[in-house]
Amino acid sequence: MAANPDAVPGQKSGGFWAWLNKRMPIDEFVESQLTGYFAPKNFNIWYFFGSLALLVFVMQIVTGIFLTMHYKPSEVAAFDSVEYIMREVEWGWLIRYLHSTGASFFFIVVYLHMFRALMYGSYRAPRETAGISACSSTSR
Amino acid sequence: MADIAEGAPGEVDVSRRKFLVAATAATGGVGFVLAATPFVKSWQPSERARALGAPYELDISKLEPGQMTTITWRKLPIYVVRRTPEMVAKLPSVDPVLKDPASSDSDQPDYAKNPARALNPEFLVVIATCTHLGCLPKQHFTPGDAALGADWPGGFFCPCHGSKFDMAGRVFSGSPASVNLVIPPYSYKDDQTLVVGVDAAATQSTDTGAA
Repeated sequence: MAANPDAVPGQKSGGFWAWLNKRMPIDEFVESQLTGYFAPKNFNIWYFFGSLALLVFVMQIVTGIFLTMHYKPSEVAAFDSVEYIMREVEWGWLIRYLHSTGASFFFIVVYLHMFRALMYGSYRAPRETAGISACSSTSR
Repeated sequence: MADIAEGAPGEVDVSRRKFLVAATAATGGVGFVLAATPFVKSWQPSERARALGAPYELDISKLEPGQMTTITWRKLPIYVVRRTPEMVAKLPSVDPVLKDPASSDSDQPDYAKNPARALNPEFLVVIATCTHLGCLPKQHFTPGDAALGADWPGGFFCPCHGSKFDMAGRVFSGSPASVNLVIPPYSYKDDQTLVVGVDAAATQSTDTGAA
């Protein structure tokens, strides 16, 4: 560590990763945005709902993709295909319920996230762009 | 968030950090596997799909010599013919006019790759779709059948494009079909029960889950 001032603790300072990082600074980005990102000590449970919203969103995408593998979107076949998902597809009931319950929870979690943002003024400087993008993406 | 370290300020407790990283990774890995299990299992064939592909059992004691019956296995028509001893004895004499008399280019299980193309020469079990374009060849078992000429040895004739097959489903030279009729996997459960869909060599353990 002392020999190489640019070395990051716990990471190799040579080889392919260093070569890649010089051209595409992944380590630097992760540190500035995640591992070395300063967060106030007074964060409380209200601040959980942003990452929870992301979690539910990813879950909706994954379960949705798996449901499309069995769902037939036609007026004739839709009911039968849902019945097939619930009764015949292994764990299909769980995937469908994750998707439907996830849809409800996405609203719950997003509303709590919005409430937090309004109460704590999370849209104020220097986070105006976060506020604008959040409003424009949820108002559609 | 600032860590209340027990060592000197600015000193990194590397072994503690390594343990925490490993423990987090292990817990996350277990959680990922648990969460992925239902999704991977949803790709397995359902019970309904398994039932559609289940083996077909046929009581062959009711077939008279020279008689044929058609069954459906996995949506495929299957001909089951109880051949007379004369039909079986005649098979080698047809060899010269066949495209593939030894069935070397045709599709059949190894245990049906013999002159009679069968486990038991008495019973021919064959997928009833012409290897040319998939029509159903008709039975013309009588030698010298009026429609097929005096030298017809008996066999199958496809009405769509005129492919001819002998009493073992082997294709005649000059037919549009290029290979012999396909033999499905099959076995005998007992003397009078034919099971289509379970290989003879692996009767005890099969891929179709015979139950």
